[in-house]
Amino acid sequence: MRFVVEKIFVKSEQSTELIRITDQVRRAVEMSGLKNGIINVFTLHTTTAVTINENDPKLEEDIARFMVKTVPEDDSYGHHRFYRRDGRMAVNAYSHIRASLLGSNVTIPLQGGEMVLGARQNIYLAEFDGPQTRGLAVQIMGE
Amino acid sequence: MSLDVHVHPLLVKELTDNRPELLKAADKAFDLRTSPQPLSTLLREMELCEIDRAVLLPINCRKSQNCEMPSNQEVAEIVKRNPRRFVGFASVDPNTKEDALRELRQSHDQLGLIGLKLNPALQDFDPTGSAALEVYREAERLEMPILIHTGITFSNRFPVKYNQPLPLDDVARKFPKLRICLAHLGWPWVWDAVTVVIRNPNVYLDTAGSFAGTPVESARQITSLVSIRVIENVLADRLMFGSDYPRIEINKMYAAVSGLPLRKDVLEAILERNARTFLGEP
Repeated sequence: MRFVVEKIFVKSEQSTELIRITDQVRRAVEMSGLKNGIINVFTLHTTTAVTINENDPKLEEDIARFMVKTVPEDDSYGHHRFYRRDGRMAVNAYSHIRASLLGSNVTIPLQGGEMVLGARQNIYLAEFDGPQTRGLAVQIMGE
Repeated sequence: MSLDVHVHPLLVKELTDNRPELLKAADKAFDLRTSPQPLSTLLREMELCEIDRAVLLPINCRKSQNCEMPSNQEVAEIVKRNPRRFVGFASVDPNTKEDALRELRQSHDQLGLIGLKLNPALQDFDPTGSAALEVYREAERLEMPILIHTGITFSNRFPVKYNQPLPLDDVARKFPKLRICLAHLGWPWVWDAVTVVIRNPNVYLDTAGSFAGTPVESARQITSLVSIRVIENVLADRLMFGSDYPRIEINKMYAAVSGLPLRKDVLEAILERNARTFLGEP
């Protein structure tokens, strides 16, 4: 059994959006050289999430809009204060909460060098505090 | 199209990759510890809220902190690559006296930088002292507007007394042709800053993050601390939009300020026209 970690980077363009990353994950898996095992796709940020869903642009917008509606920006969040760790105001509690609701990673089976995904399944980075350049770790465990 | 007069090109990845000591300077001198982002992130934030141009502000702390955040040369290079999107200001350290005056002339004549950024607390100089007065005199001669930090800095390593807006009334009266912007509305000394603006036609204010909360909370403080009537009748041609990027995202601050319950023509002036006047544009 081998463990390989490949990093991929994604540039978001909107404050909130779902970005398809299936092809980038596939390339990372190919780079690992592993053929059978399990893949974990993990975001390196606390205001983004990783999820799998149907690759329909309208559905991507629906999910983004639902998250914005469910966790409003204009609320009395305890996180919103001068945040010495960053040296600036913390102003994005809603982004963190939206990201937590979707989760930080997904797991995908690897068989014969191919990701085992359903015909309509796509891997997404969900951006909740863009635009920014984001990093993800793709860990492949197998042989 | 709008204009942001308060952007720090400090944690720009293209600069920090080339000069990693900028990360240390941002941390130790500027107390900012967010991750560097490529210039494209800054440009995209501007696009999202139709900010046409941004004024890039370096801070020269060579004597007090042994760093430049970033250098005037680095600002000039960013502007050269994006001349339609960025306006470059210089920064000099008044503590270096003759060197400061020489560097200001060089920044203007050779680098094409059109204004001056100062932060008296961070740079550790008395804004009414003789060294500073010489810098103001040279800036006035070169027709370079000055954007000066006023108001709180959260780090108590710096003397906050140097960031009070009221003493700048003397500077504004002594140099009546020098356009001066009191950044951050002087928060929490907002009325002191407003006093200086009302008394001096060459003084402006910007909305840059006031440390008073989220962008929405910060913007709402403008209209709660200073009444809408005073803003619309007295400050309408003197208040300018500034974000304080990367301490706050430009698009978030823009959404907050453009949502203030002010007359449309006043908002338009805040978002563009006043900045053009401050910069000396026709």
